[in-house]
Amino acid sequence: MPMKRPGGCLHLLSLGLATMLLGSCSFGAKPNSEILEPNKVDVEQQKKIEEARAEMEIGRNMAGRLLKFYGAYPDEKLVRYVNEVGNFVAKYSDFPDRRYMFEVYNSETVNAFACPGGYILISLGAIKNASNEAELAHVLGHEIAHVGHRHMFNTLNKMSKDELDKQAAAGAQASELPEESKIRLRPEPEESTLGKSIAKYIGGSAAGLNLLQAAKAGMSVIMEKGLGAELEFEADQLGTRYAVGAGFHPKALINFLCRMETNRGRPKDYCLKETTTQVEAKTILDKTHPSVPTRVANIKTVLLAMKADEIIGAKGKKRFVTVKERINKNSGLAEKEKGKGSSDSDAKAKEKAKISTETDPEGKE
Amino acid sequence: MRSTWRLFIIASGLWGTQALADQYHYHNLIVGERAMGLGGAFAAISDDASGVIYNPAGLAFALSSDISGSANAIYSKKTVYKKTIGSDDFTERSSGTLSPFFGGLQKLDSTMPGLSMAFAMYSLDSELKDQDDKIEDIGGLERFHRTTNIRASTTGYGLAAAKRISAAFSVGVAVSYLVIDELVQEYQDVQYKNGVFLTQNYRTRLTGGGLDTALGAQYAVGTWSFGLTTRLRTLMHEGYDVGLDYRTNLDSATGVAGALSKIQRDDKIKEPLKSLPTEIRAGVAWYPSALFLWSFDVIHNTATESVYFKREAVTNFATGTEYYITPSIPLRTGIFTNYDTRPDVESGKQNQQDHIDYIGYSLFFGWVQPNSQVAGGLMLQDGKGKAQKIQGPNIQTVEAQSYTFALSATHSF
Repeated sequence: MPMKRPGGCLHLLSLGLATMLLGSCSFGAKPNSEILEPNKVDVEQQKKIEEARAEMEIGRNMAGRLLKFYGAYPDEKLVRYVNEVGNFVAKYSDFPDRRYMFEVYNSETVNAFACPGGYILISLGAIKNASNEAELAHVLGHEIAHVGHRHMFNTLNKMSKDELDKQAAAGAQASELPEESKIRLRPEPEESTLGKSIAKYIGGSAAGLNLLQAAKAGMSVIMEKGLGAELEFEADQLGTRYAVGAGFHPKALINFLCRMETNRGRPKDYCLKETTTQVEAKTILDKTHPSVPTRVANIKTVLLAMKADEIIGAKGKKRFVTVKERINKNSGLAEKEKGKGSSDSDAKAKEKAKISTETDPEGKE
Repeated sequence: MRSTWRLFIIASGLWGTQALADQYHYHNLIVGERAMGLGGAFAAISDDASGVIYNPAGLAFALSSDISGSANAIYSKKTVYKKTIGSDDFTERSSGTLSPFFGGLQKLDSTMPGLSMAFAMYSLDSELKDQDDKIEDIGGLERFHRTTNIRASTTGYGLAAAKRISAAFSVGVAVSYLVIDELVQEYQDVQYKNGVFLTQNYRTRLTGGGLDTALGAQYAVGTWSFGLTTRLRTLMHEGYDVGLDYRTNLDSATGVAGALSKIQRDDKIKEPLKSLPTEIRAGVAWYPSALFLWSFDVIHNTATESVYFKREAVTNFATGTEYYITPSIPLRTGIFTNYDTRPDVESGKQNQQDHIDYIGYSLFFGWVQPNSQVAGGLMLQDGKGKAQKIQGPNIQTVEAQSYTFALSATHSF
């Protein structure tokens, strides 16, 4: 049967509709209609897809906020290197098919953030604190464990609406607004069904969670409250397993944590003491993680279980030394730009490097 | 209709030609998403892109980067000249559906802590008027026809930067390029049954361009915020084309048809405005809670000397409140003045310009969603004044109202 040629307006209309449909199809991981016909789509599978998309959106929002706050460290080669190490460790994790994106943020404090959906941020300070690639791999393994086991996402999902709102408000305050600006904060808006529908249509949001609230609450968890000791211990154990599985030295995370404490002026044997004494929380890491001695003790149990003494792992110092030199060189340039002179910063860098070596409980490679 | 006023028109020769567009009121349009609702009392707040207009220093206190736009969905103005034609009123109407504001703000804390930048395109004045009056077959008059068409706008294109010097104090600067464009065309045709006629075609075109440089400061203490802005405006170019075609066969001595006489003028005036006023705006805002704020501005504009557009100094006031009925629905109300900068109309003088002082009221509701909000509402301006609408010594009382239904949307990111 011959078909009528549609008129110009219809052409435009269909083109518009096609563009809209194309736009909606290209957004994220919607099921391909050619593979899964709508009436055959498994409800559970659809739910999983929607949850994965929600996880990605929350994580992207959180990572964006963190990078906006701290700023990204402007060294593409370093970021590429961190991604290489991180994704290598991720291959030996419980979720080798997941995608992880690693970024270095510009802060001298030692910390790393695992945002849902695979967005992992590590501070420049954390890389500086590491003395070899194995330590970096363990730290990234810890964060990979958080993401892979959806520690943050599940924590947010378990929160009641009131709790989510409370944490979101705390998250807003955690963004460190000056008091003079806080008076300008207006009430946190309620997301209405209509608003959510519009947002869903525009942004493709598909989760049951209020994504923005969840992201804000996530900020409070990541900056203030923490995931809780149990999940941190689990991430330490899993991260250690992943890194060791990838061939890295088993005790690297213990070395990293102990060096961090020593650099903060604590005694060399502090981290090895099985103490439960509370110390003053000075950093975000202190507030959001169990004390280093308890973490070290926990890691030791997993090392014991995997008979770590019998494992010969690589420390990967050679490549890491080059990376550190690059960072120190960049820091020196930055100092020069600030007009502080390079000699001081070089001296400081050397001094820091000296401290790093001295406090490495493992000593030399 | 009464014949007396019609005859009066004819006896007067022509209707007074004072259909100039409005360079004499500075608050005909209130722009900016929140500022509209607050009646323009925004100097101590100005923490969105409209800070380019109200106080660039406020940009440094912005809580987020955003992009916003607002449009006058419906704008209607009615000016009633009381007992202008005998005991009858004369009414003029104008309208507009123009976009008065579009702007964006970007926080640049990662580049330099406390730094923000913004851009804005805004209309300070915008009016369309199509007036058509026709009178036919009364007494000796066969036809009187008068049409007026006005298209007037003053638009600014601005960039601003602000820096927080300390947690409580910020400074900002905004530079806008102002474009003034006013086109007035007025046609009058009077035909008498005895063959006498008078026709007049009068047209003016005012154009201008200038720089508007605003320097602002904002200081916050406790739940209070204070703002101060000075706007220095410099004309870079201006022009005023005045054209007149006048034809009549009226013999003024006998009152009957005589020889044809005509006047044809096409003047190009180089400095019609000469200067633009300097504005000083001071404001205070009080934030007693997250649900409520109150703001108040005093705005002073200096006088400008010009043969064609002489403007007196004027001080306007604006005050506004914002109250969140629910966390997603803010209600904003404002009251503001929009005083005339033309001299008062005095008895014993002729050919005086209108003088109409307005008081404005605004009422806006918002709908806030995470990262975005829309607002809609109404602005009403109620004016009272005096005029000499018809050539001669008579003075008319004027009542004017304008209604603006405006919509705005903002997205924060």
